[in-house]
Amino acid sequence: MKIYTGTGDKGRTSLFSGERLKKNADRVSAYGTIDELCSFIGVVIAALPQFDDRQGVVSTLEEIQASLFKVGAILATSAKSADAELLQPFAGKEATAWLERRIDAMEGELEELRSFILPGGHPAAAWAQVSRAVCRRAEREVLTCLEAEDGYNSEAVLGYVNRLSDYFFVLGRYLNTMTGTAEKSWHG
Amino acid sequence: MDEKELSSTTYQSAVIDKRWLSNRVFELALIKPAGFDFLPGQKVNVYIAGMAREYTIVSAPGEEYLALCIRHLVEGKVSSRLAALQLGDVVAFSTAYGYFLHRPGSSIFVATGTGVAPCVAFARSGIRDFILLHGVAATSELYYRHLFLKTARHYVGCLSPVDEDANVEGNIFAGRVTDYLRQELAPGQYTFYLCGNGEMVADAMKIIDSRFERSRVFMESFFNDNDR
Repeated sequence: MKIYTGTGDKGRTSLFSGERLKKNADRVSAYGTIDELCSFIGVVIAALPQFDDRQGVVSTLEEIQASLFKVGAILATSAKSADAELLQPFAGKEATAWLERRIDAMEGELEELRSFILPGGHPAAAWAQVSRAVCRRAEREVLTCLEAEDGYNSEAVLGYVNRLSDYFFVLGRYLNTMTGTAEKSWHG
Repeated sequence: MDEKELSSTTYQSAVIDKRWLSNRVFELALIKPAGFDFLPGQKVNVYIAGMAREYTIVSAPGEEYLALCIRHLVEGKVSSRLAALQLGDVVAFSTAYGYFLHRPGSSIFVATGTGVAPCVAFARSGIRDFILLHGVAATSELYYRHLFLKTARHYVGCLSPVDEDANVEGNIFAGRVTDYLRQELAPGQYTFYLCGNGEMVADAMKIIDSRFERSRVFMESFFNDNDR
């Protein structure tokens, strides 16, 4: 399949459901940020060091990337469109619960959080915090879509993206712990 | 693709018919494997001699065979091998995929060359309420025109360059499909399906954005002939 089509050279793009939108439309920004997040997850994976649970973390991150493809497709489909039936199903509540179990498992390995921490540490942990921040932006943009369109079908997405940013915060701490990298507290 | 991967991701079927539609385009019919499901407008990857190419299915899901529309290019590594297949030869292909699917309602299909293939599958599947603009270089390339004359609400063969001796049934427009969009189609809100070479798809999209605002557009563009 050809990678470039030339159909977006004048600042417009097509939704999965066929509508043409300006590339700075709220909806396009939302699924663009989901794509950005998915790419940063790839950076986290690439930066992962060797540790006992490495393969488990890789599997989780790849599962999240796969879910974000589904999320992006949902966001790229207009409200109440019949094309929604063509999308791969995304069980938002189940996926959110799945994230919570992984957060809880990692937190069991961490020291209790007593202050704000500065993002950073091991490169993989630092990228996890970047992913957290991008995820928060995605959440804000998804909410903008939700508010702008009555009946917009992304409510299941919103809960998942909210919990996903929590996952990345804990993942950053977990990776620092696994690599013996000290966390730096914020002394404001 | 190694043998293990091939067996887990593909079907293998025998050729049961090969029908030339013009001197360059043919329809290859294969036995439809048990359990092979698809929707009109989907395509498969065909694997041959370690290479893969995607071709659109032109038969309807309810038919007992699986047909592909293929342009034979003299220098084409895959299409030349497919053109040389004999009845009974076995072809490997993937599951069907793709989202170039018909949506309910009135539709305008804009195709060049074998880009008309999805529309063939739609028409054979019973879809009727559509306008088709088929851009070709010669009237002999207006394959499937008899099907479309019976099924389309309006069928226009767009000839570029113009064939002065053209004498075929149905409407013929002297010019590209994009000329027709620009000059003939009344402004309005439509559902467009664009399928063909990338240049046509890009040009058509510019016209749609400026002349047919608020229309929906679905598209598939493919490489130029020399990539096959």
